[in-house]
Order: sequence, then structure tokens, then C-alpha cells
Amino acid sequence: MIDILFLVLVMLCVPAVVMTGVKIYKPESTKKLLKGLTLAFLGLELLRFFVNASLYENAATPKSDIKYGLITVLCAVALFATFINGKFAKNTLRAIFSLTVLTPVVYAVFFPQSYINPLDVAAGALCKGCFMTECGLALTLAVLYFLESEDCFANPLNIAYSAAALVVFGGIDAFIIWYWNLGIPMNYMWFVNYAVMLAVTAATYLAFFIYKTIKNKKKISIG
Amino acid sequence: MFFINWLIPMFITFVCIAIYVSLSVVFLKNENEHKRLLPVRIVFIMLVVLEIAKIVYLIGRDDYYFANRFPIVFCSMSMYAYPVFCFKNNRFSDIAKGFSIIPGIIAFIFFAAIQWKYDMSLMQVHSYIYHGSMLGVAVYLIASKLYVFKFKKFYAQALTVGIYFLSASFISLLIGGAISVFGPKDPYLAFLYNAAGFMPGILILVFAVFFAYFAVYGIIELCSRAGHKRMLKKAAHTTEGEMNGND
Repeated sequence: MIDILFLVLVMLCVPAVVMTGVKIYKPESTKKLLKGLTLAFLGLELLRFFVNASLYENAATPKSDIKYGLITVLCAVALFATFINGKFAKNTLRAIFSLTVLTPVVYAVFFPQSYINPLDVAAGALCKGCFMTECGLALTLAVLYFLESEDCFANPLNIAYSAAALVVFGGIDAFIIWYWNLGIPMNYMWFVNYAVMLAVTAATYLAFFIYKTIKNKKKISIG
Repeated sequence: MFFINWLIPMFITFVCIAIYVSLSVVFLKNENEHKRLLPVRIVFIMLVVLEIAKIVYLIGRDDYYFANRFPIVFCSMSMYAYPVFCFKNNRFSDIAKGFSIIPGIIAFIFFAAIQWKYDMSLMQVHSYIYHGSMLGVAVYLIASKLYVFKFKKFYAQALTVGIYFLSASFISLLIGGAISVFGPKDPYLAFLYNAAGFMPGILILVFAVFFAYFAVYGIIELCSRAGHKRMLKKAAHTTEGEMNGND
């Protein structure tokens, strides 16, 4: 319970800190910030991977405690969405990333063992801290993507794309659970978890949509 | 015991701080910034000497140097900021000045809160001088207006303090986790570090510090704005009165 509370707190605090900085210093473009945050995201993911790998006794091949997960998939999506300049990356990938940004948290609530194991508690719970910060960085990137290209997010097709992405996430997740024996039961709760993820994705879309509508109304009333 | 261990040394400390601040402010009032930072330079050199003397003395006394005595504990934070601004002015000087003020004041409050427990000894005298000097410098920087609180400055301050916290906690993990405040074995923050693990605890601490800086700088900004408004009102009132008198 405390783990989830801390996860949510850290996840909300990271964007609060970054967005306060954006508000105070008002940078002309957020491109460099996006690149920096994405690289930080990748750095933390690699740190988590190597710390887990180094702590795993007699690890000839990565097995149950090596952490691939939804956050790894999101990290890969963020790299493409930030560093590739094409229309698909800028609009669709960013929208998919932003709408599915809360899925690792939902997964962590349903299956805490997905990111907390004896190795995470070792080394001062360094990996747990990394995971929490990564969730925060992902949320920050999602907010920045949204602020950079608000209009692209309004497309309702993005929900369909995100749902498709969730199916892909589910496939990757099932493969990981099977191949690395993660010990996560593939019962009805696993399917409920993905249904909740889908609902959260729709709720995220709604939140972005409401924000945009309110902002547009304000603009019209000022104009 | 409270009288000998706490009240008298605290009184002496405050008298020394008052003398240090008032003499420095009065005599260096019309000097340039470099000269006005002379009292800080003196304190910095004194603190380095005191730190080395403490390490040598404790190794000699205990035949061992405990990990929780490494000078990256919370109380030593301010000391690292002094050389950044007191010798040569650079782009980080203002951040370093701010960095030395709030941690210096809080370190003294933490120190003062628990000193009644301990009997006076050579190490206690050292501690009073050590923490008192940092409070003295913090008060001097504010009194001489070498550092001016502005709300916008809070962000850089909070980030710098957060980075220091994270670095100190990593060093603490590397050397066995016993560094005071930044170590997983610290008794004061054990409740936070035990709740979900050390790193999540440190992260929560860093964010708490961020919001505390936001609140402190925000309150100071609001107070100074209210004071400024009051002064303007008073000035307008006086001018109006003078004009009425002239009529």
C-alpha cells in the first residue's frame, strides 16, 4: 500500500517539478527538454536493468528478476516519439505514448511483484526508486507531448491506436511472463488488469480533451 | 543540566553571532562585494580547520573513523557552498549563497533541538562553534543584503539541494549506509526509509524539500510585497499630508 502511495506521489511530483521549471524559465522550445527527459528515462531504465542483472546471483542468462515490462516498452516508444521527425512519430506515436502512460502504474497496482522483488529491496531499493522516477518522467513526457501538439491528440482514432498498442503490450507481457517465468498468474485478473488499462487510457484521452476544450473556451472568451 | 548543557552555551553562541553580524555589517557597509565577503572567507577557513581537527581527534580517540562522521552529513552542507561564492564571483555565486542560508539555519535548529541531551565536552564546544558559524554566515548574508530572496530563485535552490541530497545518499549507500540523515540507517528518518525502501524515501524527501522551498520563498515574497505596498501607501499618505499642509 505504501509502495503504491509513494509510486503515485513520485509520479505526480516529477511533472510538477519539471512544469514549474518550464513556467518559471519559459523556454522558447521544449525540444531540448524533451530530448533530455527521454535520455534520462533511458538512463534510468538501463540502470534498473544493470543493477538487477548485477544483483542476480549466478545469472548466466537473464531470468525471472530481470525487468522488462510495460515501462521498457514505453521507454522504447518515447525514444521513437522524441528523436524521429516523421509525421507518424510526432502525431500518432506521441498520442499513443501519452494515452498509455498510466498503464505501468495500473499494472503495478494489480501485480506489485512485477516491479518489487527481493532484488528491488536490495541496494537501498534503488530499482524501486528508479521505477517510480521513470513513471514520473513518462508522465512528464506525456504532458509535454500534449502541450506541443494539442490538435493531434483530439483525433478519436488515437483511442483505437492506443487500444491496439495495449494489445501489443499484452502480447509482449504474456511472452515475458512465459519466457522468463515471472510468476505472475495468467488468470482472469490478468485480463481484468488489461480492461482497467483500457479504461484508464480512455479516461486519459477524456482528461486531455476536457483540458483542451476549457483552454479553447478561455481563448475565445479572451479574444 | 539543561542550564549548563544548553542554555549557557546557546546564550554564548547567540551573543557571538550577534557581535559577528553587527560588526561585519557596520564596518563593511560601504565596501564592495568582494570585501564584504571577507567574514565568510574567515568562517570557511575556520570550518575547514575545525573539520580536519575533528577527524584527526576522533581517529585518535576511537582508533576508528565511523562512516556516519564523513563530512557530507546534513550539517556540513553549507560549508561546501562558501568557496563557490566567497573567493570569486561567478554564475553560481547567487545559488551558492542561497544554498548556504536555509540549510545553515535548519542545521542549527536540528542541532539546538537535541543538545540538552549531551554533556558539555570538547566535541560539544566544537559542535557549537561549527553550527553557530553557519547560522552566523546565514544571518550575515541576509542582514548585509548580499543575498536577496526572490520567488524565482526558489527553483534553482530546490534543485541544487535535491541534487546534493541524492549525491549524498548515493555516497552513503556506497560506504555502508550510515551517513547521518542521508543514510538508510539514520535513526531520525528511519520511518521514511523503512516505509518503502531507502531510495523511494530519499525521493519523497527530495520532493518534500522542493515544496518546502516553494513555500518558504513564496511566503517571503508575499511578505516583502505586502511590506512594499504598505511603504508605498505610507509614502503616498505623507506626500498627501505635506501637500495639504502647503495648501
